[in-house]
Amino acid sequence: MNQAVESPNDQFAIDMVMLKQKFTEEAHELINDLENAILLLEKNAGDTQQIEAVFRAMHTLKGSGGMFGYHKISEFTHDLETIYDFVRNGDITVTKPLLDITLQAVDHLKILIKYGDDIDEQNTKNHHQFTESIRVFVQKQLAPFDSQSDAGTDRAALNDSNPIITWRILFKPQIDLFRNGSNPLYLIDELHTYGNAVSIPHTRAVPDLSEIDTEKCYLWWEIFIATRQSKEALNDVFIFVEDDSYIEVTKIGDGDLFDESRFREYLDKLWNEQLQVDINELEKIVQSRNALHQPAPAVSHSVAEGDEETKPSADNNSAVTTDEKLSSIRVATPKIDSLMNLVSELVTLQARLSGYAGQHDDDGLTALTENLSTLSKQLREAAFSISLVPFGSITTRFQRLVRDLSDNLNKKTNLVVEGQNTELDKTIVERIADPLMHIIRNCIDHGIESPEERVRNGKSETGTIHLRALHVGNTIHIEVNDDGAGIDADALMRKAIERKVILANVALTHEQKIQLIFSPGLTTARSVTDVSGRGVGMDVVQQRVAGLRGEIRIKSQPGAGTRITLVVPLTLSIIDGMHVRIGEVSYIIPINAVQQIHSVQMQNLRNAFDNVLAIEGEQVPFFWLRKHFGLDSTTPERCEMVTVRYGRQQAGLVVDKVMGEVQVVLKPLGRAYRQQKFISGATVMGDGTVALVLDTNEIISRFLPQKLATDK
Amino acid sequence: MNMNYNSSNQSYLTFQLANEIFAIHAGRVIKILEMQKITEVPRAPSFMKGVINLRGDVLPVIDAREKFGMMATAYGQRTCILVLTVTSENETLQVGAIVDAVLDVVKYPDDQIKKAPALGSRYSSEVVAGVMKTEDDFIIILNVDHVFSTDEIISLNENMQSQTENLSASSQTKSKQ
Repeated sequence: MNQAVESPNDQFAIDMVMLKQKFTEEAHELINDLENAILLLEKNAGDTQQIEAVFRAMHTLKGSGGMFGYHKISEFTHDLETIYDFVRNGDITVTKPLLDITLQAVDHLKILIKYGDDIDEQNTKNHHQFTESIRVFVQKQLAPFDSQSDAGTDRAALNDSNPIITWRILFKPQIDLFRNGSNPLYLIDELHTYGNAVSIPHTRAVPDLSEIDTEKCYLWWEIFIATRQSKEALNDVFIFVEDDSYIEVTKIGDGDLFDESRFREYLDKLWNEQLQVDINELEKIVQSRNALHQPAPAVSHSVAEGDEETKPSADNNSAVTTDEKLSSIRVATPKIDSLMNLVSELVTLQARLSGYAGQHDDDGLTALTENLSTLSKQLREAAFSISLVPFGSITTRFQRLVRDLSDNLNKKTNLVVEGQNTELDKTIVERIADPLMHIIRNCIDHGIESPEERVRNGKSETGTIHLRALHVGNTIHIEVNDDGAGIDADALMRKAIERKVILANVALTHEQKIQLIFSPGLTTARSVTDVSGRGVGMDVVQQRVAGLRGEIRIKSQPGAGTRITLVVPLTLSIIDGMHVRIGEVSYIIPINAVQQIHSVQMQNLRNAFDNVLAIEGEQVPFFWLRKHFGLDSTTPERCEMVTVRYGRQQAGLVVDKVMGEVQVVLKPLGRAYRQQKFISGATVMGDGTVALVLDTNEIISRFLPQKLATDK
Repeated sequence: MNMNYNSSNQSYLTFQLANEIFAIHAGRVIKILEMQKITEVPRAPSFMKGVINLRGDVLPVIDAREKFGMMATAYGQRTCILVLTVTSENETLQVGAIVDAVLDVVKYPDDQIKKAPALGSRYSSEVVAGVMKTEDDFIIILNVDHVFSTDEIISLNENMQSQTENLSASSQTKSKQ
């Protein structure tokens, strides 16, 4: 019994958690849009489209924040929204202080989204201070403008100066409006608070009682309203439903038409007879009124829009035009994962079919198999492209970083991003962001000179950082290119000697000296600034990139700048590998680790002292994978050794046979085998069996100590 | 604990390990596979047999006999792999369990399932989700979440004695304790 009562609650709790998660995701996206719009505004203060975007993002945040119990967010954004409402109406101009405070507010919003309403004491204090400072800011901005508006938040007070206009609003919700939880009546109620209004519901689309689906919205409304509010304000009432509804706001005439008895009578008639408004009839009323009140400039707006009268009635059924909005949809990642799984299963099956067809001499079968093969390859590519995201999705934070950091360091820097649309794996995008942040931070801190110094060196005052993402074959290159001072190779060298990274007497080329930047514990900043002195060096960046099976290249010219290129694979889920066998078991060695393949006699290996073999003059330690893996079969007399990179060294892995190169889909081994770190995953081979993908670095570091122990 | 599964559906799948019969809530069983070639993962405990290809996904497979500390035997005609959903540390995952034979699917009313008595070692209540009585036997319903998410070998012997006195005395399980 108890259970029966509990489970709906549990269900509710789970739903709420999921909804909140959805809200957070959406909120992050909104914040991203917001930051983007603000940064664009900074470049062009008059860009009304961006102002609109800022306002819209805030408005949405406010609404959905409140809905999901993030009250602090909604109350906080309300204040911000107020500011941008003024900006939109031209009452406040876009200035740097305004953008500064907005960006700070955006940062604060990030905290609020992360912690919800349970922020800690410090953040609560910040919250109150911030809210207050925004209020003060608004008042200050408005002070010279409107001295009696002390609260600054009262919209109506501000709009007092606007003339009254009578509008006709056509509100046709889509049939499944209720599904979003929207209640059209609330919206209409809100409109009614703006002034004299009459709403005429149109009920013709309501079906017979037996056919009514109570979850559908069959009604649409015509609302006549006389108000001082602007057209935008009227449109804003519908901001949450505008995607799901047809909304049209038309001016009928100046002044309050409700004063006019003929107008009221006409509306009554419309209501009673369920007619749509006849614009001509309305015009007559307006004109007769104009004739009375103000004879001359009588051509009202609605005349120009007279031809619109036919439109609403023509598309009564398909009132909503959402074509533009359909350009992208949001899909949960698990769905994409499951699609990818199905596709890779299909590809596997297809490979088996091809094998089968190859063994049977049947022209029909062969032809079909080939067609299927082409198709499944295309399907795999298409499905794969779904899981990619544009590089542009992470670049806003770099814009922000450059802006804030340059301000901090009194430098002038411009970040130019190219290849925003270059698509790459979501996981890679996420994991490349931090290393890139660090590189860009370094560029500004060490690379870009102060404006004075730049001018002295005959450069433009403002430094430029080019951030570019492009496809090169099966990889993505991400370049960070600055026109700063370049790396001081000799300083690096001195530092390296000082820190005992290299010996004092080695002679290095310029290139080699620059490579020293990747050695642990080196930083050339003369003073450890707040910015780069975080103990994270380029060595860590390199490690991170290597973790993505990528590499990092660096080029620098003194006085001209530095170029750092990150080369990362297109995806982490598909890898090129070397298929090897030990006994009956297949293993995959990632191809980027593989150096060479040597055919060797078991005899030579057995005789090798200390499991080290001399190959081309280099001492290469090798590992008996069979022994380390605890397999009971025996190594054949003729076997093969795959040498792989291990740091700056090489190491050999002894296997029975190298089968060839393959491209495989990497699957995680899962929690059950979390101890087996030297296996980075598994893959399903063409014949349906599972092969393990080896992590060569882990294998060597795991089994090397044992070897060293036996050395002693 | 397994409210979602237990409250609505009372079907159980019974299977055999050596001479014992066990039951698992049918809602936990995703599918039953024939025995197939398993890719061994090096340096894992011996009851963790390796991984197989489950419709393009990689599924870890556990030998239930070895997991319960029973003697490993050669796989036979009736050996199969039960694909189960297991919740562990708030994560839902799938594992394959090798059993000697699948016997039956039985319906059994919730309210007649006996709670595992809290006697014996503290294992009992964790391993056993309940006990059901058939005409001449008691069958242990396994707590799948616990059994297949721990890394240790589980010894069933003494618990079974205390819970199912009527059970045919000659238990083949070996106590590891």
